[in-house]
Amino acid sequence: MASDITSQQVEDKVLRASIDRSLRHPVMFFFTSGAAWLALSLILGMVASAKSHSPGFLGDCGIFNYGRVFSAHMATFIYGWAAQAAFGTIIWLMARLSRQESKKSGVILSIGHAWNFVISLGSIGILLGGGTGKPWMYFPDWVWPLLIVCYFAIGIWSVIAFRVRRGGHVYISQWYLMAALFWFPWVFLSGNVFVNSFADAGNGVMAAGINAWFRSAMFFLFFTPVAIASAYYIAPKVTGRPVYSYKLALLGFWALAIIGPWAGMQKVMGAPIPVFLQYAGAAASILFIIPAICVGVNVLRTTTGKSETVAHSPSLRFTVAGIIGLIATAVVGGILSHPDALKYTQFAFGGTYGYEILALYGFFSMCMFGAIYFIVPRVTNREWIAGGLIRSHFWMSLYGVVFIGLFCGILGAFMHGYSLEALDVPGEASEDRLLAYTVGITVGWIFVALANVFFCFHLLMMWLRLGRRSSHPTLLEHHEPTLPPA
Amino acid sequence: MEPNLRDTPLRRFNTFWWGLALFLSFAIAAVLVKNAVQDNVIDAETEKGKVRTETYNKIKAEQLKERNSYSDNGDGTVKVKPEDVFGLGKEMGLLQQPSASSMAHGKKFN
Repeated sequence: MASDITSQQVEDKVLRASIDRSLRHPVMFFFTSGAAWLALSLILGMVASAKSHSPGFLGDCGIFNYGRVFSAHMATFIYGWAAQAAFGTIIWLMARLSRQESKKSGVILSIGHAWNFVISLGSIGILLGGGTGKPWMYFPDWVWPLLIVCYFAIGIWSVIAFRVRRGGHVYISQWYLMAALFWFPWVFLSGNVFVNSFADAGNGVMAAGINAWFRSAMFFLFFTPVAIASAYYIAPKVTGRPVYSYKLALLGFWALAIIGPWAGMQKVMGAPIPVFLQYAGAAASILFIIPAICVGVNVLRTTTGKSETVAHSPSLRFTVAGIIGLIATAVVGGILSHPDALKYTQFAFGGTYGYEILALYGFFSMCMFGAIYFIVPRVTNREWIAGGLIRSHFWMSLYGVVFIGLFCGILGAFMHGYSLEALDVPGEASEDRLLAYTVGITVGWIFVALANVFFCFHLLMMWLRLGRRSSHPTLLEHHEPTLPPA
Repeated sequence: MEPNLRDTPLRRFNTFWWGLALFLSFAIAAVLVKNAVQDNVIDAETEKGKVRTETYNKIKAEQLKERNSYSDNGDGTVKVKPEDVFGLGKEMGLLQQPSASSMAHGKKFN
């Protein structure tokens, strides 16, 4: 019996190694190119933020006009970094959970290059003035059909891996991954077809409403499930415990599936679109707290009593921070969706932006960093070089995103909106009130950019296989000097 | 390791094509909905514009008719085309810039 268990464990280890080896190139490609796009996005974000309080900064160059550079910043953040981090996580997680080697790594890698090429052309198009100006659909109109074709060629292999999985059991992470794989094409196709066709037909109101829905749906129905899938894999794996509650996981999944598609149209509150759509969007955004709490309680309770593991493991630390970011996103999103709050934040600088940064960086990106810190050593067979670099990445990211998202984005939006609502006060007064917050956002981005310099450098070393050859993982532990006995 | 009985070429083939079909069905559904809704859209600006354009064309036609006609008014005067009058008036020196008046207007300014 003991030799059976041992041989099974050995077979398992060999299978996992072969899965990791088969996915090394596409996964590392998605993660490193994603990190490069993140770096570019952060630079563009700093420039855009600087221009909001110092419009003369790079003022002579048309490419760095605020409308273009902000659009390029968000487009590269969403489709360059966030989407590719999601792809790398999806293909690795699904392969591991389905216990299937990837047979199409070459195809995935080629399509990954195509995705990057299309994003590059799209970003150049935005900077040259060809952007559409539609939030989260900034690329010129010819880009989105190419992106959806690339997506199919990347995602279908994970669906096949799930269908031919070993064993009958479906893990919680697999529910979320499969859901995300099917929700993305529905949201992306519907959003782009309807927005582009309605806008072209002169029906800008409906285009704006559907665009608002698209932004929420992309976040709630693609980025959120991918991050949750990663958290549900890493938390039990690193702590060595099962997930706290299967029933809570079920509740969280179905709550997200039912509530998620309704959110978004509260962003156009007051527009001449059916009122029930606006209030349904607000209600759904507020109700998003339900799946967020289900996931939060489940993951955090799985790690209860393992505070040392959370402190020492980079992947678990980032994942736990991401899950706390999920709860913060849900609470802040609920507050911002209330009509009384929308009165102030809807047209204020930073209201939507602060929320999006909190959601995409404070929740999604933190979970993705956790996944990357877990996956990369396994696919490269090397360990991270320095815990100090990881610690710097963590703390500076946290300071930056809390500062940008909560204080400057959201509080600044309320302050700006409050002063805009005071009709007896001149407009310049509201801009003066906003100045401190816009400067704060720039400072916050500098922190985040520095954090990601460490991350990009570290990831590049791993990509070049210059990591440590070691049998034990890189941990974030402090070594207390031991005093010699008296 | 036990062989994976679920992993067959047929299952992989089916999954690929069903996946593609589902994918395309989203696209086809979006296009069908778009076409169904688009045809019923009434652009208020264009509809109002039709009424305005009709009125404008009617008035213009009437004015042109009046303008291009020649008739004897019966009281010693005739109605003629403007182009004829302008040409003759110029020849007769009737169409000149008015000269400054030599009479003082009598207004006093404070």
